[in-house]
Amino acid sequence: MLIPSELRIKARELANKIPYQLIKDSPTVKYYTQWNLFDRCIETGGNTLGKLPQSNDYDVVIHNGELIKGVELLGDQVNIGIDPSESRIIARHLVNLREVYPIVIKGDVEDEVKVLLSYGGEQNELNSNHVIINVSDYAVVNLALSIVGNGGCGTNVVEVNVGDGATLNLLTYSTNINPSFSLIRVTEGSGASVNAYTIVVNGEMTHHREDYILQGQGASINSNSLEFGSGNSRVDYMINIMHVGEHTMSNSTTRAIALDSATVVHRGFGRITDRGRWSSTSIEGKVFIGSSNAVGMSVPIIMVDTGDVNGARHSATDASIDEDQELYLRMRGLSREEAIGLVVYDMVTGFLDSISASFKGSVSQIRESLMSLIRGR
Amino acid sequence: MAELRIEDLAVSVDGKLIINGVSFGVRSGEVLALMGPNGSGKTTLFMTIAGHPRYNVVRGKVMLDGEDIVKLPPEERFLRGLMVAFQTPTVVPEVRLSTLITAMINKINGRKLTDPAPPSLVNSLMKGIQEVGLTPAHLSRGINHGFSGGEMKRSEILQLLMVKPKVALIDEPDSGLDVDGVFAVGKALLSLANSGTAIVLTTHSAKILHVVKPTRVLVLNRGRIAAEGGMELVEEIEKVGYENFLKAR
Amino acid sequence: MGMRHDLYNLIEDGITPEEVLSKNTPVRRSVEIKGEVTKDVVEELSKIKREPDWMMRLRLRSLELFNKLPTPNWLPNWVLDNINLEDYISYARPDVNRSSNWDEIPPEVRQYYEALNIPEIEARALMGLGAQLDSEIIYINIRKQLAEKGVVVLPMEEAVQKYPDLVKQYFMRVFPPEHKFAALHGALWSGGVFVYVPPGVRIEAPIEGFFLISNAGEGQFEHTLVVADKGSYIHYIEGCSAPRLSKYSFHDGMVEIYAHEGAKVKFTTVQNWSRNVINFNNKRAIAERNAEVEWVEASIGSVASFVYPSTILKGEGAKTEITGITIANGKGHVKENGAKVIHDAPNTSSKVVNKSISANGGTAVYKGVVYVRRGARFARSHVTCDSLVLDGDSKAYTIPHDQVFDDTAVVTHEAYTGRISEDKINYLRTRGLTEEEAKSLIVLGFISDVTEGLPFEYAMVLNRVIMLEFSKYGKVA
Repeated sequence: MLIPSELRIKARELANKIPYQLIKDSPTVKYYTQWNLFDRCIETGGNTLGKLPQSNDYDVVIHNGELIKGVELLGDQVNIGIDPSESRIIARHLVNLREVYPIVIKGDVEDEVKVLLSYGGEQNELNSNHVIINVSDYAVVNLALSIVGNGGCGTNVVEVNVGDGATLNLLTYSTNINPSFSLIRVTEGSGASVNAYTIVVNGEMTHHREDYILQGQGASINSNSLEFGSGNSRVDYMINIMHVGEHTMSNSTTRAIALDSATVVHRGFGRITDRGRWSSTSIEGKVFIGSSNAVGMSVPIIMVDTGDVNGARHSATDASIDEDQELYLRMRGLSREEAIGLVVYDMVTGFLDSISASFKGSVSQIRESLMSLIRGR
Repeated sequence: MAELRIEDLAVSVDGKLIINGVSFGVRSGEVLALMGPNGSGKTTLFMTIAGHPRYNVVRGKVMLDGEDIVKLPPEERFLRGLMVAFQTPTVVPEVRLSTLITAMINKINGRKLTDPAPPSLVNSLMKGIQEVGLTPAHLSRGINHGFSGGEMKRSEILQLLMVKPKVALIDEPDSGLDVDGVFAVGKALLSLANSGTAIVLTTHSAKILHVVKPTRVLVLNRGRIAAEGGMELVEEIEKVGYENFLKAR
Repeated sequence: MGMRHDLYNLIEDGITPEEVLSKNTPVRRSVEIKGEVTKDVVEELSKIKREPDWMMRLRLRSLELFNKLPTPNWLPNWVLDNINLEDYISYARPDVNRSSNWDEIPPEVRQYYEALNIPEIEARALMGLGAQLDSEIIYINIRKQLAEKGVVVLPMEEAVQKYPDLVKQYFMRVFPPEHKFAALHGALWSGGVFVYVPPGVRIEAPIEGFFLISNAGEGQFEHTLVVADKGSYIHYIEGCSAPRLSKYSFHDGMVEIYAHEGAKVKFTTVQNWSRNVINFNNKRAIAERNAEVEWVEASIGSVASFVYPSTILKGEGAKTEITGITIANGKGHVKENGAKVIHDAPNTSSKVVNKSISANGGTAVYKGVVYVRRGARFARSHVTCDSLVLDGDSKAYTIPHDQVFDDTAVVTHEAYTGRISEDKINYLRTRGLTEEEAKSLIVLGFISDVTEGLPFEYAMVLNRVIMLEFSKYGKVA
């Protein structure tokens, strides 16, 4: 499906005008994503296909804006749920994009449906992918989403519409090298439920954002995320949960690891709107700082627009192992570094083990690449 | 001379009839023991008499000193001398037990809620905590906040002792207490009755009743009074259990 | 006793402090400066105050920055729309001679303070008091034994003249004019109290600064500077109030605290501006080695308030505690009460406790930053935010930022937003309280962290004022 021309015109108009991000906070607060790094990226308009990814393992493959595999899953024209006025990066994404791929998943297969968004090119080339996934009403779907950057800049947008009463198990794995912007926006119908597992690994400047809009009454999201930053990576992971429907529920737990000179940011934002009465939200994050040059940041925000709330809660921790734990482990013969290594290992494997068995195939691949990252240290 | 009279009371909760035609009365100095198997309606009866808004009175009267209080809000009933001690009290971490007790007494005496406690109250509080087996530290904690099951019971009894209501509805004051605790609570209730409070008390065990010596015993079953008598009913229930006891009626 | 009872009873009768003050007649002014804030205005103000050259230059530099700095985008538009400086009186000197004896203060001025029991609280519980009316301190007094120990408590202007070298070291160096309203303050500051506590001197009872705005359309820019020398202790209380005004007044004060090695400063603010006041207060402290700074910010009054008490933990082992209580009670009320802590040295620790209550369409906001610099080894920080939202129209926002650049730090944050459960209210109703009384008792308990640290007289009045806020709430709802 081609981008409607009026949308493209609007995007072109705004791409150089509006800011990447509007901060309406005190003057002390600076950007968590270094947006200026995106300034060097140049729109390719999807003209370079470059090196194609391995596509055997996937049901759908989109590379540098082109559908390589999965034509049979394509659905009808749909509305694009993002607007260029949201931010400069979204405007640039829409400028750079030719096609959006609507995909329908009916939930008639038990196996995971594997979707790959891949991009790659010269260091300064910007490639973009956009897919809209519709999960039919009352379907039960296991969706494994991979966002893989092989060099060059990328913007990837995945819109997911979860039908009434549907259950979506969503595994997202994102690994990038150069500046990348990923947006996964999930809108849930009445009684829909989403179990999300997200793994975001490394990147010069990885901005990974997930929006969950609990539109229908009684919708719920249960999200578990793992962020991993090593080397000079800078990872900004952000989860926004908007309670629009009544009696909606959200739970989000994030574990983040900052090693070497990496900066790892966890931002969690739960909002109970005035329409989302009798809802509850809980956002929890822990950033583990595993090296003296690493940086951890947490921004857990709750906004409650009504007194008819069942409760909104968040907690955040930025820390390494504390002195008592360190001492205990040293009495068991481990150095501080070894102790930290154990913690990291346990955090990663513990997270992978907690992922639903429906994603067995994907998890074993992810495990392999994560373990090589940790062991290679 | 205070008197509580329940007349043909019927109560529903969420549309379901729980109490169906219960009548009884209790006067100053009397102790009425209310027994009955789980789910027979004892707690419902107390909550209704105390004015909990979730309990819906279908018919009947709750007469306190000749006045029907069935339409009064719970706080009004308290001010008229009716007080309930909960089986499972609510935790209110924000308000200290001492603040609550002072506020109750202040309110009864027409003072402002947060006025400092008069010295006489401070004295009787210090005696009271000893009597029920609590410590001054409990007073400065939030109401029932971090209290064990037994401490909650003791705190409820302490509140009764401080207020000395005309009528006390006491829901299982002995559950979760050890033998010494039961004895202490029983003695406290006895002194409360002797000071003129009319007591209605629920329990599942005869132990506390041997201490407080009820004037009468009622057995409630499926929302109705199944038996009425003296301590001999308690002994029969102790011996044969509720099921056989009720079958024999 | 008499006066306390008067206020006590008035509040009991349902009359708020702003209403108590509204009964008084307005005070005459001997000087008023109004209109656009220009170089001329600032120079005139400096001349009126017969300031040394360095202070005039500081003012002009601040004015330049004010004109250069962007308008903050973190403020609601309606607030910005109501800060039209051309319309405000930026300096108002009351027609009163300053004194250290209440009997010498003319009765029509004294009555404002008497209506709020200030002279009586001073006599009972304070070691010193400075009282400001509009732009000037009109009363200042400290106990003789403090003066003998070398404690300095002076109106800010007088300190600038008498102790220029001392003041210069700190004045707007703890809080430089880094944003537009801080810069405006630097250009227009007037009044406020300077306190210096010599090494090792511990002042056991609090010193208070009390600030009144008596007129509508007025800006108040008082500057408070507390310097606690090595190993000293001081508790400073700041109170503010205003009668109900016909239009908005604007408060843009500043508090700077410097706690030298081993010193402890407790700074308590009970902000009870009337509902026509837009309140900014720029508050920052620097804590040297092993020093402690404790902020308590009780934000009761005003229609819009933006206060973020901040501490820079500059010396090893320094500590800070920032307690905030926010009441946002009324349609459109926006109350931001935040906290900022910069961990700039090893073994520093911070604790932030923030509690808010929003009702009747009010919005309570916590904005906070905890920053741990690389090399600030073993920093510890814990932030807790609790918000009660009492009805469907009210809002609570919690926006913290934790930025940790050191791997030995432990920085934690916890927050909860909810309402008062029906169970709690029902329980208290079976104890004879009305719904309204139950709610206010829970609210009082909720904020007892703050009230317990205050002198008894103060806490009593504050409790009553809060009870009143919520009994009105009950009536409205």
